[in-house]
Amino acid sequence: MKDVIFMWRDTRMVVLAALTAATYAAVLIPFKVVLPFIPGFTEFRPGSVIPVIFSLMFGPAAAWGSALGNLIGDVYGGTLTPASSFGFVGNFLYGYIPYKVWGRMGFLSCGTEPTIRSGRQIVEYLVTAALAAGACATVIAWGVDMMGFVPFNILSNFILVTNFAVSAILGPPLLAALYPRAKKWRLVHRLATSQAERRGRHAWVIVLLLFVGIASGHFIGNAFYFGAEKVDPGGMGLAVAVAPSIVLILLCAALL
Amino acid sequence: MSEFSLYVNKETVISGLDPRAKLVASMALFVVAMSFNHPLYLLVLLLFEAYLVVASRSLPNIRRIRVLLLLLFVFSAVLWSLFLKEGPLLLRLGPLRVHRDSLLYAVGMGMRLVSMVVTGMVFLSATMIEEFVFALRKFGLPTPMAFAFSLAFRMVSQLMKVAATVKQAQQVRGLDVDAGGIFRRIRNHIPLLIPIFVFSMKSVDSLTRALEARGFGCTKKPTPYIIVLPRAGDYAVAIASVCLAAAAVLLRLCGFGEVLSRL
Repeated sequence: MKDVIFMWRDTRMVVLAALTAATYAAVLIPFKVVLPFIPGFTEFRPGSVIPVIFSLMFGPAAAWGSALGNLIGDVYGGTLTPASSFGFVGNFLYGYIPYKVWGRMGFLSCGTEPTIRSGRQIVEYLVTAALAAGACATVIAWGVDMMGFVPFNILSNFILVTNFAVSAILGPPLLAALYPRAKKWRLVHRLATSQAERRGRHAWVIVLLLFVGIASGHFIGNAFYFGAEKVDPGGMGLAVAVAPSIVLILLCAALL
Repeated sequence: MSEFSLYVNKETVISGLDPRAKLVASMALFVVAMSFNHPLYLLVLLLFEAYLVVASRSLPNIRRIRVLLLLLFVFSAVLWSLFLKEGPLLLRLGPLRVHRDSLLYAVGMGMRLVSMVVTGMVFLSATMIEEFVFALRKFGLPTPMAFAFSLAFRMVSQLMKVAATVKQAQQVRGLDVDAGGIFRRIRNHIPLLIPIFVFSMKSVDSLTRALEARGFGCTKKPTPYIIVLPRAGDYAVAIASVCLAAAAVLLRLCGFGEVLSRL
């Protein structure tokens, strides 16, 4: 977690954070009005691939960049509301989780850089993208439901499916094309290249707990609405019920 | 100022306020909107915001997002009235049932959303990005983060121009990116992403050197681009906004402005 704080001392990382934010916002803005799935909250986002692939190249700079980029998209799109704060946290996790879990998923990890040259690398990439999309979807939908804007089940499923689908389809070819160039220009974050620097042999346990947090939050939040006849969604019920999962997600993210 | 900026370059009472006072007032209006879920109370807030729109001359910006505002209201109102089942049954359409309290709550949520988007739009119409960043810095945002935020704002328009150049270059070579339906057009644009990303990645090194040559990061408190000194009126607006927000929370705690006992 220290790297996301100390990165601000490095001028190159500050520039990379700004670059990620600007690129993410520049791709998000035109689609805000083209295909809005849930007006003001989510739309068809080809830009969703950017936090994942930039995270695997630029590390913590991409985490801050995705958070800032989403906020800039809200500012230019005219949808700056308190829900933007949950968008900030959710998109931070979306750019933070990929580089943190890469190479730390036990038997799912191939132990190489994310150059996307083999089937195993693609599998690891897909799991990475799914975890990032899941964490982003759960946190944003939880916050937005708590504020009374959009029901949890609608937003969480849309964000999960669209973010994962876009990252899964566009990510591998883009990463295969960009990673070698980023490495040649010495823009790749050290955690992506040096597996030896990764501490903790049992980090896969934290990744597993992260998955448990995402899956439980998603399941509980959806159960509140799909079983609405039996479970009363009134009051702060959903917010309280999903809160332990959110805490688990944030805790695992901090420990990674 | 970026060409994508929502800032309305006209002198108004609101644009003349200190950006910190505007930020506090916007937060306060967000709190007021969050405090109530009864449509009548939110209607009063919306009327006040309509006055702010006129006073800040941000009507052209509101007009730009009028379809979004309508969609927001309709979408929120329909979703909540279908997913919540509170109060007596009003309407039954096959498996769908609409209850009275849920419908009222749903309309309230639509109005809350519209009110928040309008508040954000008034703030952005009356505040330059540089002023926004200044206010964030004064409220404790670390300098490098504030710098990255403002740099990203400027880079968005630059990247859009690069995208347009790359698109034209590909069209000259025979790529018809605007052919077909919407999904086909989106697919046509995907190959353009790589040159755009490569171009922006190439600029990182030169930008880093330029910043370091100018002493970026040498001091923890660099000189700000703009300096705004608060006046008595700014303090009055900030204090009045905080009082308004506190009063709204207090009213809600006393049971006013509530259709359902949820946020």
